[in-house]
Amino acid sequence: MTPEELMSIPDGQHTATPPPAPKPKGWWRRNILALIGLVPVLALVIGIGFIDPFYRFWQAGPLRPVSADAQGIATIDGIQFRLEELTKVELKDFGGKAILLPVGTLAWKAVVEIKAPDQEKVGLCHFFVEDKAGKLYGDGPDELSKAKGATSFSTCTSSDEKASAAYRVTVYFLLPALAKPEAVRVTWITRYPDYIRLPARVR
Amino acid sequence: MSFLRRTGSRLASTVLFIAVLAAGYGIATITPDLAAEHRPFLIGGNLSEPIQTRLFEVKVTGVKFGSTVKVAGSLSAKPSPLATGGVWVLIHVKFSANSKPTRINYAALVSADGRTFLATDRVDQKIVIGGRELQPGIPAEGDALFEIPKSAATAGLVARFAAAEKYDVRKDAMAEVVLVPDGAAVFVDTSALAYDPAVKA
Repeated sequence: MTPEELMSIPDGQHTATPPPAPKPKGWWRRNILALIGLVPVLALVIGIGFIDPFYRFWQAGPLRPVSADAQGIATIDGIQFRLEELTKVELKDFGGKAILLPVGTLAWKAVVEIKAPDQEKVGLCHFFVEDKAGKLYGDGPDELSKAKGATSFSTCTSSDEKASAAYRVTVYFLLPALAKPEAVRVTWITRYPDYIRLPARVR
Repeated sequence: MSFLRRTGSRLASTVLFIAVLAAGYGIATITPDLAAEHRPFLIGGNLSEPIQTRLFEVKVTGVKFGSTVKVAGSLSAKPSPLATGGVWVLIHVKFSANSKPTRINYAALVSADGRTFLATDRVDQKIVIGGRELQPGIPAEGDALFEIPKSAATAGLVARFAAAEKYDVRKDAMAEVVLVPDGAAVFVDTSALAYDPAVKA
């Protein structure tokens, strides 16, 4: 079409010029959804990495003490504990003979008063004596297995089924003669990492 | 031109994808697997040497090899010796807990060629396999008994002990005691070994 011919076309009858091609989307715009989706995936991967250590190291042991108040009472889940006594003791067997202890050791007795409205909530627990060096000694050690009253089966429930909500539990320990007891601990696997810590007033 | 660019772009993506897969496979192959990452920390020592781990100290004071074992304290008046087609390994061992009540839940012998043999369950084991709860500062000693094939009773035999809290030996200290040093010969006693399950404080 010559310029003259173009000029002869009436106004409004010119052919429309094609619109410019759309600008290609940038990398960020093209990948934004995938990037957003990556966030929860990364969180999941990191989270899974934490689950095993969490259960193995944090919930796997007594790490957080529940301390006693000024009256010496420590409370956990509405259950009250008070250390009534922690004393050295001479143990006898069922025939009345003195138990022969390993050289350089002493037997200790702890009496813990427990106020538990529901004994099922205290259940199977473990007692430990903590010494000034932070070492722990378990209740009912094998060395005392022949002693009358000492048992390796520890429990926070009363031996008397008709006992009132407040009762006493007696447990025995074996410590090196040089160890200086500092506190009694009560633990439950189901309550980890919390445990009861009752400071001792050694007699 | 546009066709060439599209084809080149797809080819590059494919090559990149394969390269990422190959790199992943390479990393997974050359890096330690989970079992190796979680392996216990071996702390070595020799006979009569105290070995200190995180939770306990161990000292193996004697080792004997035999073809039969007599168990002390059996209810039978004349207990018949326990025979084996392999070799009995009797170890006298002393343990002491470090900081809290501890049981030795894992006891094994490892041969020079890497085979592992757990303490036998043909007799009562009272000092290992969780038998005795050790109190800190109050040592306990006794016998541990293992039954291994003759081919394992050679130089390089070691004993391994771990507290295995919650029966898990991962990522924790494990004592390793050399029972038969390199170059040493093993003497297998033909008379019955005397195994005493009692634990002495």
